[in-house]
Amino acid sequence: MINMFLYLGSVFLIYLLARSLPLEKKFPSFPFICALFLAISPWFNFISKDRQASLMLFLSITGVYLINKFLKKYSLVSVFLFLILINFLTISFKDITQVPVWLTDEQRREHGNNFANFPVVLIHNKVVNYTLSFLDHYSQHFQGDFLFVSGDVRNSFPLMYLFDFIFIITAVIFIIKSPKGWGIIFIWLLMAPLPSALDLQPPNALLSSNMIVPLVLLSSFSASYILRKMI
Amino acid sequence: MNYILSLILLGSFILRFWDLGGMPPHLRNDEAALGYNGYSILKTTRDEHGELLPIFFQSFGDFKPGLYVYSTLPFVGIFGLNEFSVRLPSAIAGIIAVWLMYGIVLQMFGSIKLALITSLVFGISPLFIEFSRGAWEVNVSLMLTLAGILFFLKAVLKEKYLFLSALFFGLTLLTSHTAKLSTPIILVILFIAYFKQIKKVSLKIIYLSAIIFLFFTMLVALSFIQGKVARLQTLSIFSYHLNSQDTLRSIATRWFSLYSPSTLFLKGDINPQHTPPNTGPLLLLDSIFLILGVKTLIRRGSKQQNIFIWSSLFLLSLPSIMTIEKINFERVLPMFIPLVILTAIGMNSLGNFRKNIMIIFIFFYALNYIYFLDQYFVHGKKKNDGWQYGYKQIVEKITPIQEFYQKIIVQQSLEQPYIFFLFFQKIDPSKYQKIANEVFVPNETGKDMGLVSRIDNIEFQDIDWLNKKPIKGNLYIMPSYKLDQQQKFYQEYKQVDEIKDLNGFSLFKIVKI
Repeated sequence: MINMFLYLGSVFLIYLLARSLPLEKKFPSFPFICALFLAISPWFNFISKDRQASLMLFLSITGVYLINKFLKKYSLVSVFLFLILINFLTISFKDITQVPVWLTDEQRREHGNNFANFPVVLIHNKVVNYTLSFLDHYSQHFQGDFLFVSGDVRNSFPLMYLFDFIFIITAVIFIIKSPKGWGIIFIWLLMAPLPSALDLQPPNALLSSNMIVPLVLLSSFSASYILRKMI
Repeated sequence: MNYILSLILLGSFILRFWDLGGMPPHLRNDEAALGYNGYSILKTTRDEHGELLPIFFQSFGDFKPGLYVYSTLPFVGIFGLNEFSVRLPSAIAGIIAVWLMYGIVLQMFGSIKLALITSLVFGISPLFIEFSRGAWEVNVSLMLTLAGILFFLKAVLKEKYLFLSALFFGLTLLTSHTAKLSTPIILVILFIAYFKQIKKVSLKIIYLSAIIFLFFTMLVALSFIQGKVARLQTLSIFSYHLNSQDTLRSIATRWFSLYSPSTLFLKGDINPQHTPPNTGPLLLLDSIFLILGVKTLIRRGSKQQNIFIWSSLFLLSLPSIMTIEKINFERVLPMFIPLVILTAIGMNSLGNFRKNIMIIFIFFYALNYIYFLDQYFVHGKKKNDGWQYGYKQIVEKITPIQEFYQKIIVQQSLEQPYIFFLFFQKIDPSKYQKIANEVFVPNETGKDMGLVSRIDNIEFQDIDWLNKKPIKGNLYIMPSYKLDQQQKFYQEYKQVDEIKDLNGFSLFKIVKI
C-alpha cells in the first residue's frame, strides 16, 4: 500500500517538477513524457519494491521540486545541500569500502628496500589510493554497461532501455548548445551515485536510485524535443 | 612556432627513446618473431619458414602483415639483432606521428596554437608512449594512417596529394591486422566529411588513387583466399556460436566498457603491456579537458570537424568490440586520435581562464604526469607476468653450458620459448629454415598458435615426470611452481641455476638429473 503510494506519488511529482523547469512553454509535452518514462522505467519499477529506496527517491523529488518552486534564487546551492542530506541518510556507514592495504604496501616495496623516503610516500599512500578507488567506483555509475546492458552484479538486468541511451546522448548535445535551467539537474545527477560509490560492491542499483530522476528528465527532454520537431 | 614544435618533438623523443632496450624489461614473443624474421630476411632473403620475401609472415601458426619486419632491416643490419633494433621502427614512427598530428590539426582546424597543443598531448600521451616503446605493428600502422589523413586533407588544396594518401592508407593494410577494418572506416568517414571538397578533385586523380589503394587491397584479399586468416577465426566473437541476443549483448558490453571513464582514465587495459598498473590510456586530469573539449567542439566546431571527430570516435572501436577480449587497446589505437584532439581542444579553451587558475592546473597536471611516469617506469617493469620475463636470462645461462648436456628440455608453453632461443642465440637462419617444417607442431583445435618442438639439442615439451621418467644427463628448465609439482615424482635432481624476476622472486629453475 505504502509502496503503491510512493510509486504513484513519485510519478505525479516528477510531472510537477518537469512543469516547474523553465522549459514548459517551449515543450508542452515534456511533463507528460517525464511521468510516462518514469512509470515505465525498469530501474524505477525495480526500486519501488524496496521501501527505503523508494521513500528516499520520493523525498528527493519532493525536495528538489519545492526548492525549485520556492527558492528559485538560491536553487543551485540549496539543491546541493539538500542532496548531501539525502545522501547522508542513505549511506550505511558500516559497509563503507576499505582500501586494500596490500596495494600501498606493494607499491612502496616496488621502489626497493629503503622506500621510506618522502617522494615515494607522497605518491603511494592511503589517501591517494583511496581517492583513486573512490573515483573508479563513482565513475562506474556512468558506464553504459551498468545503465543499459548488464546492470548491477546482484541482479543483472538492464536498468534503462537502449533508446534511453540515444535520447540521453542527444539531450546532452541539446543542453550543451543551450544550457539554461539545467544546472540543478546536473548537480543532482553528479551527486546521486555518491552513497553507492561508498558501498562495498559498487555500482549498486538500489543505493544509486537517485540517478533515475535526472536521467529520466534528460531522456524525456530529447523525446519531447523530437516530438515537437515532428509535429 | 617551429621552435616550440621542435621542443615538443624533442620531449617526445626523450620519452620514447630513454632506456628503449630496457623498458619494457623483456621482449614479447611477437617482438622476437618480428626481429628474427628481419634477421632471417637480411641474411638469406627468406623468412624463418624458408619463404622467399613474403608479404605475410607465418608466425606461431598465424600470418602477420609484414611491413614491420621489412622496416627493421636497416636497424638490425646496423645495430645487430637486439631489443633496441627491433623496437626502433615503432619508436621512430611514434615521433613522426607527433609531427603528423600537428599537420592534421593545422589543416582541419586552422589554428597553430591548437595544433601545437595537440602534438604536445599526443607526444606525452601515456598510451602512445607505451605503444611506441615496443615493437607494435599497430603503432607503425597508426603513423601511416595519420600520414594518409594528412595528405587527404592536403589534397583539398593540391589534388596530387591524393596519390600519397592512397599509398599510405594502402600500406597500413600490410602493417597490421586491425587496419583491415579501421582503414576502410577512416576512408569512409573522410569521404563523407569532405564530400564537397572531394567532388571538386578531377575524376582522373580519384580513379588513379583508387587503383593504388585497390592494389594493396588485392594483396590482402589474396592472403584471405590462400587461407592466411587463422588469428581472425580464433578471436572473432562470431566464431563462438552464441545466439543472436547474446552476441548483441556482448557487443554492447564491449562497446560501453571501452568508453567507460574507468577504462579511459583509471584502469586501462587488463594487459599490462598496453597500460601500466593503476593508470589509463589518458591521464586522470585529461577527463576535465575532455569534457571541456566536447563542450567547445559541439558549440563552436564546424560541421566537418564534428562529423570527423564523432564518427571516428564511435566507429573506430569496431575492431575491438567484435573480438573475444573485452578491452584491447592494440585494436583500437586509431580511436585515440579523436580523443587526443578533443583533449587538446579542451586545453585550448582553458586560455580564457585567469592566469592563477592556469598555474594551479599545470601544477596538478604535472603531479598527475609524474604519477604516470612512476607507474610506467618503476611499477610496470615489476609486473613480470605481463612481459614474458625470464627467457632471455634462460638463454644467457644455457648457451655456455649447452654442449655439455645430451638434451636440454624446456617447458613448452604458449609463450613460444623457441623464438627466444632463435633470437638471443642468433641461430643461423639458413640452419633453422631446414628444420622449421619438421619441428612445427600444429595446434589440434585450430591453425592458430602452433608450437615448435626442438632446436639442436634443446627440446620444448610439457615436463611430466610421472609419465615420462627424467633421463640421466639431461638438463631440465621449468617454471619454479612446476618444479614444486613435479618433485613428488622424482627427487634426485640437482639445481644448477635459478632465474629470479625483478622483484627477486623465483621464476624459473634449471635442474640437472
